[in-house]
Amino acid sequence: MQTVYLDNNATSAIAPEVREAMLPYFSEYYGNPSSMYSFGGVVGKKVAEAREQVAALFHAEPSEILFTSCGSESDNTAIWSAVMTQPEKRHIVTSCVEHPAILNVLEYWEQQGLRVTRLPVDERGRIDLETYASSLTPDTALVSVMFANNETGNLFPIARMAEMAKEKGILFHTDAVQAAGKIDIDVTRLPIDMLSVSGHKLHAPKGIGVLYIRKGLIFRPFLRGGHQERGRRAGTENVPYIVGLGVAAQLAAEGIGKEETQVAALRDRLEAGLLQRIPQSRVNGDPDHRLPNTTNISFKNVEGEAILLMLDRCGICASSGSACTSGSLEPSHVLRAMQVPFNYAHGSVRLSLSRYTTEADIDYVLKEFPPVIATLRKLSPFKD
Amino acid sequence: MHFSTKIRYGLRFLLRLALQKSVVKLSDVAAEEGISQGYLEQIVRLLQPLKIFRSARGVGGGYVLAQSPEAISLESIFLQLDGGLSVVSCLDNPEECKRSHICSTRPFWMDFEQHIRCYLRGKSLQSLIETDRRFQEEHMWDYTQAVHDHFLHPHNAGPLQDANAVGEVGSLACGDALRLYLKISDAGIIEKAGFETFGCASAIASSSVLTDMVIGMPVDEALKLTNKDIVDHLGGLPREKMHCSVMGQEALEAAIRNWRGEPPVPHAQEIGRLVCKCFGVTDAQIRRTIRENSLTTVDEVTDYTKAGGACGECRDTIAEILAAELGRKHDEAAKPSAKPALTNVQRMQAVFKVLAGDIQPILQAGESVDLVDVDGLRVVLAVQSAKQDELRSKAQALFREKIEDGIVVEVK
Repeated sequence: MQTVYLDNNATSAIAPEVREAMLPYFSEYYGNPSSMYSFGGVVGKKVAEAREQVAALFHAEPSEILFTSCGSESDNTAIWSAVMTQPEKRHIVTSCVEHPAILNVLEYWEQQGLRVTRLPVDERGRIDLETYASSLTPDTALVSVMFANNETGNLFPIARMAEMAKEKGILFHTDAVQAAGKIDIDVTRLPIDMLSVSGHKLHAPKGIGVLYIRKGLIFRPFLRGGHQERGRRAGTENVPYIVGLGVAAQLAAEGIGKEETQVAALRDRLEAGLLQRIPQSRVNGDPDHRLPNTTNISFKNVEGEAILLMLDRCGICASSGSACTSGSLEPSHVLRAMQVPFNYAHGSVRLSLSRYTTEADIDYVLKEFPPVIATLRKLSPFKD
Repeated sequence: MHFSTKIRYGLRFLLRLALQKSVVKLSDVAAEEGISQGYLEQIVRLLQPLKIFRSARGVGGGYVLAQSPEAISLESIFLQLDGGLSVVSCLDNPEECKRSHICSTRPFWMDFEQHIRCYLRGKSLQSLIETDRRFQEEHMWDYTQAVHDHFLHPHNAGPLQDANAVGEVGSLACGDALRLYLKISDAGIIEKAGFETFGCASAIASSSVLTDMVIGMPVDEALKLTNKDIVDHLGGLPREKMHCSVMGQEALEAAIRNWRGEPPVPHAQEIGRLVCKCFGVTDAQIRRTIRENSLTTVDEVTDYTKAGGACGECRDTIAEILAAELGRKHDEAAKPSAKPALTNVQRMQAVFKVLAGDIQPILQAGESVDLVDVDGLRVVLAVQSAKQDELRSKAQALFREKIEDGIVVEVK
């Protein structure tokens, strides 16, 4: 059975070039990059090269790149630093459709006495800029809004939002875990202070992340100990993974044009094909402003977990915002925030492509997907 | 060396026969496996001399396995369908190559083929069943084979035209809903059943197995079925999916009430007050589910009834109901005829919860309390503390209050 992997927003395949680049750092080059002898120095140079590669992806300077263990650590660190360096400010602004790596961390800070404003979204998942403007106060320490939403692929107006925060002297962090490598992010044009990245979403392995910290920003480390990362994050550098992420960032930078042409074209063909072949289906999110690789489609009167299990039988890997797949009892917080009607919310499927997705993959999905919905609709008591 | 489609399709056909205990229609196999029916018929003809399956004629005609899967060797199937293994052609037809008798590599190929044969001899249709089970387990989350079978091949699916009883529970907003159709005879026997379900795999499987269970059953007996019976027939459900089985039981009750001309409200004798506004669950439903499934925690109640699973506002109320129910259970347990209220595993889980939730927070630095054993009502703890005895009696009091009256705590 062939496997068609359309869950790249969950995690992505490690690029062969990335794997090859990493391997020597599991065998011959095991030196500690901080060591004085040349055996360690070779490794240190490689880490520096990776830092340059990652910086280049965001048009940043290498000194602005902090390696972490994952996107969640980057998010935790950003919020921690913003709170700790501005003890007089007790308010944070975020959106209600953030990843749990932000929402749950802010819930913790709320318990510690901070105030949190969670910006609502409209039915397409968009943030209203006027509401946003009115949420910014002299007490606001930080705005943290995701660059792109993981479930719908929606892109938020980060440039405008960051400018508005800057005008009021408020720090701006963005969780760019989904956007990094898929669209061009240029920190020289965006007045953002911090930005989180996760390696495994852009064809590097799991277990490596990045926090971009704008030069000059007052920073307080989250993980204390040794002097690694210029004292900003303790812990011996995860050399093989840093090397891998460097190569992945370089590949992403080279391929970013392809994302918007090739990947977006495949996504559009997939989406249009499914909508055309399956009646009573709808796209969730904002088709005019979203990542090139993501589509989130709801099918009326069927349940997402049942769809995924049947797709799995055909070798198609996707995910759903339905209640049953998450082990919770309600549809995802993103779909609820967008007030997707109940008869659609339970039957949502997210399909996320990558540069490795082929035309044949799309043909296969277009062939196998519609009968799955037809079978489940036949079983369903709701027919209208 | 290349194995033909005959052998590859043949194995898939035989696996289907082995997995499905009842008669298998060739047209179904063809449709589900994506193999042409004509080609399947050819394969069946080739396999017939082995007598590993027999045909069933008539409208529901098809094939059924005639031997146990352990007795069906894969070697015999390979030989029958492909005539041999043809690792290299000179093994079966030495005359094909004039070097056969002088070829020094031919013994290597003979040995090679023997190894494959030996491997195949050690494998039976049962081996394929086991591979399939492992595959399904890896691919189908935590569902049992029965859930998986009922989900992919539901029994009695669809509305029943001549139904005289219909029961509906759930709603789109809740994320699952079931409409159960029954045809009940004048004598009160359920003759036919059908269903329509909106929901996840376990909701569909629960509905399907329920229809199997009730067909042929008198309504009085059907009313005694609990959600646990549905779970047992499915070989178990993941904890967070238990509410699917409760939905089945409630639909059955609603259908029978409908047949009797009673209002469709579940448990009308004790409608109760609404506890969970998000999912529309009443205290009566919660009480019943607690009793029938020996639940001891609020999380379990949520898994079984959904109550408290959305906004969480009613979790305190659920805790109160639970406390009252557990109290009731203590009273019953005190009666000589009553069975123990908890299984040992449930009791152990409850003990862990109390230890983590109530005991750990009151410990001073350097103190520790660990569970050593739970044996019936005897709970053995390892206590590191200057005030060992005080902690022991504190724990015992808490266990008696929150779990079971008769618990005795010993310190090792």
